[in-house]
Amino acid sequence: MTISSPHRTMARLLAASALAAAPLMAAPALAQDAVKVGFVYFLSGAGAAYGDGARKAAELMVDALNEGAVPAPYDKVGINGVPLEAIYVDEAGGVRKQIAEYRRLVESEGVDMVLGYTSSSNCNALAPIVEELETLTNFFHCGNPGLFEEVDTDPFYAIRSAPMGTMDQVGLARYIAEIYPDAATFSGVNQDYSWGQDNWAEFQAAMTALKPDAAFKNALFPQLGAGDYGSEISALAADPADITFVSFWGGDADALMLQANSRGLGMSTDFAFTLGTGVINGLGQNTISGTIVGGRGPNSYLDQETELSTWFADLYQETYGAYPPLSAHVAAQGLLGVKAAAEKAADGEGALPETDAIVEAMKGLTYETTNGYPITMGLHDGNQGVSATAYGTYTGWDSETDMPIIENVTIYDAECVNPPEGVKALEWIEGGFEGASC
Amino acid sequence: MTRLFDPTIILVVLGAVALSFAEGAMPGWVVYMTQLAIAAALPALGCMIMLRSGLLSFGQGLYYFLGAYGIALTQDHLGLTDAFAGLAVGVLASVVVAIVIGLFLARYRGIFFAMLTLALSMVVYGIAIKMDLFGRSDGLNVARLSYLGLTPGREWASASLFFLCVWLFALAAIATHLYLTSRFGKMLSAIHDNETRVEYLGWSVRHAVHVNYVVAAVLGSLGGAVAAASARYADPSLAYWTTSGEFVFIVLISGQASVLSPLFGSAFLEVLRAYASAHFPDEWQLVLGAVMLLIILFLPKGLGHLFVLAKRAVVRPAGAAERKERAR
Repeated sequence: MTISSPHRTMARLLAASALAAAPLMAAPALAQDAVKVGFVYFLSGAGAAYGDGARKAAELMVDALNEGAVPAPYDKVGINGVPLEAIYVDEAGGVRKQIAEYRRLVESEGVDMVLGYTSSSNCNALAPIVEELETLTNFFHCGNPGLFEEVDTDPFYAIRSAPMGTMDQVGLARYIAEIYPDAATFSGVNQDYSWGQDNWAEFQAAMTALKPDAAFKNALFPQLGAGDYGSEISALAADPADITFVSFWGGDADALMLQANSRGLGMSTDFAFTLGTGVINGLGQNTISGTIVGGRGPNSYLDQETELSTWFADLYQETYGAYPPLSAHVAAQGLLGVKAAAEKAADGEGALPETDAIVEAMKGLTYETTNGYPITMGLHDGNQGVSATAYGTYTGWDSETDMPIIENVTIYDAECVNPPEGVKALEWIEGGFEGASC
Repeated sequence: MTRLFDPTIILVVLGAVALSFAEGAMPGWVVYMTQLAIAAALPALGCMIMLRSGLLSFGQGLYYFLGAYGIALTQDHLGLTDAFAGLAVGVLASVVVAIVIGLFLARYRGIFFAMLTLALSMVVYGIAIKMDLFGRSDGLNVARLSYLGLTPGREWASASLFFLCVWLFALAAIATHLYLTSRFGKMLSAIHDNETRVEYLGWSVRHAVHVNYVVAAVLGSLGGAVAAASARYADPSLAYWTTSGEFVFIVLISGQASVLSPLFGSAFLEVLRAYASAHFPDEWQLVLGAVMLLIILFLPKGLGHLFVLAKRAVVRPAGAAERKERAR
C-alpha cells in the first residue's frame, strides 16, 4: 500500500458520488432484475452477540427465497418473483455514523428497502430521516414503545413488524402471577441505559398491577458490558427476593448467569430472564435450573411447531450447527413481513410494487413467521406489529435430543400482553391493562 | 487590515463559496457527510489550539455535548427552533462551564490536564445517561431549524442548513486564524517552548491557558451544534471519551499546519469510514485502524506533511541543481 492510495480512494469516492447524484425516487413497478435490500445488524462490538444470529438468518433466508425453497405461503422466488440482493451494514459506530450509512444505502446504493436496527437510539434517530427519504424501513428489533409514541407519532415509511418490548414485561408478570402465585418480593438487575431502565419500570408497573402487594427490594443497574457482577450478586444474596428480574442480553446475560450459578445464587432466588433463551444458546447446561425464560417474544426454544418453523429451525441447524437464537427468528420475521405485504399489494408476478403500496398493504396485515406465531400489524395505524408471547421455566437438559427442557410453557395472546390502539404502553400497564383480553 | 488578505483567509472564503455553489450538485449523503466532517473539525480545531501551548485535551466531547444539547434543549424547553438561538445557548453554556472548570484546570499540565478533562467529560456523560432531561441513553430528537424567523420549505431545508454549517465553519476558522496569528496566539507557542520564560516576560501563563481553554470550548460547542442539527439528534455519547479521542486523533492525522488542517483530517476520516463500511461491512474498524496506524508510522507529522513533501519533491531537485551549478 502506497501513501497516495488514500487520495486515489478519495478520487474514486468523489467519482462515485457524482454518479450517485441520479434521482432515486421510489422504484416504479417495472420489471426489475433484483430487489435491493439493506440489512443493518450489529456485526461488531457487544451487540454482535445479537447481530450474528440475525445476519446468519438473513443470509439463509435470502438464499432460500431466491431458490424458492421456503414453504408456503412464502414459496414465490425472492419477493413476488424478483430475486433479492442483500447489502449488509454494521450497526456499530454510533448514531451519527448510522445516519450516514442509512443515507448512503438509500441515496447511493439505491436500496428498495432497509431492514434492521436493534438499538433504540438508532431507531429514534433514524425515524424522522426514514420519513424524509421515503424508503420503506422495517425496524425489525427495537423494542422501545417511544419510537411511535413520542418520536415518530405519525409513521408511514417507518414500520416495526417486531412487537414492542412491553410485551416481554407484561407477559412475564402474568406468567409469575399465574405459575408462581406465592412470589411476593422482587429484585431487578438491568443494564444502566434506556433499555434496562425502561424494562424495570415496565416490569414494576405490571407486577404491581397484577399483585398490588408486590414488594421490590434491590434495583441494580450495572454498566452495559460490565462483565463482572460480583457486587450485584453479593447484594442479591444478602437480601434474596423470590424472583430476580433480568433484561440483560448478549455476553452480559451469559456472564451474570455463570457468576450467579458459581455462587449458588439460584438456590435463594428464582431468576427471570426476558431474553433467557439467549442465555441457554450461550451456556447450555450451565443455565441455572428453575430460571424463567422468555425469548423477546415466543422465539428460539419457545417457538411453536408449524411447517415453516420446523423448516427454518432444521435448515438453520444444518447450516450453522446451532439452534436458531431469538435474533435469527426476528430477522427472518422482518423480511417475511415485507415480503407478505409486497405480494399482497402486487398485481401479477415479476415486479416489486411501489413503496407506498407495500406500506399500505402492510397495515393490518397478519402473516406467518418462523417461530410459528403469526404477527398482526395492528398498532400505530398498522405500522406496529403485535404477536402472542410465551414464557417457560428451564429445568434441565435433555441429552437425548440435545435440547433444553422447558416446562410450564404458557402462551399469552397478543391482546393480552400488548396495549390497544391509541394507548401508551406504560399508561396501559399502570391503568391495570384496560381492554386486555386473556 | 492587511491581515485580512492572508492566504489562509482567502482560501477559507474561496472554499466556503465553492462549497456553497457545489451544494446543488451534491447528493444528500455527501452533504450530510460534509456536515459531519465540519462538526468534528470544530472541536478538533479546539484541540489544536490547546496543543499549541502543549496541552492535550481529552475532554472536548464535553463542549460538543453542550453545543448539541444547546440546540436540542432550546427546542424542547424554550420552544425555539431558531438555529442562532440554539447556537447562542450552547456557546453561552460552554463559556460558563469552561470559565468555571478552567479556574482549576489551568494549573495543570501534561497528563494531569489530559486526564482531568477526560474525567470531567465522563462525569457529564454519566449524569446524562440517567437524566430524562437529556433523553437518557436514547437521546433527544431535534426538529428542523428555522433561521431568524424564516422556516425554509422542504426543498430548501437541507441547503440552508448546509450553508449555515459551511459559513459557521468559515467564520470560526477565520477567527481562529486571526487569534493564532495575534500576539496572544504567538504566546501560546511560547508557553509550549518555555513556560518559565513567558512568566519572566510578564505574562500570566495560567491566564493565557485559561483563555485558550474557553476559546477551545466555544469551538467545541459550535461543532456540537452542527452535529445535532445535521443528525437531527443529540445523545449523551457526544460526551463519551471516545468522541473526544476522535478529535485528538483528527489533529494527529492532519497535523497542525493551519486552521484548515482539522477539516482536512475529519473529512479524510469520514471518507475513509464510509469507504471501509461500504466495502468491508465486517472489518471496517480493522481497515480504519490499519490506515490510522500507517499514517502514524509513516507520516508522524500528519497528512498535512504530504503537501510539504510534495513541495520538496518539486522544489528541491531544482534547488539542488542550482547549487551544483554554483559549486562549479
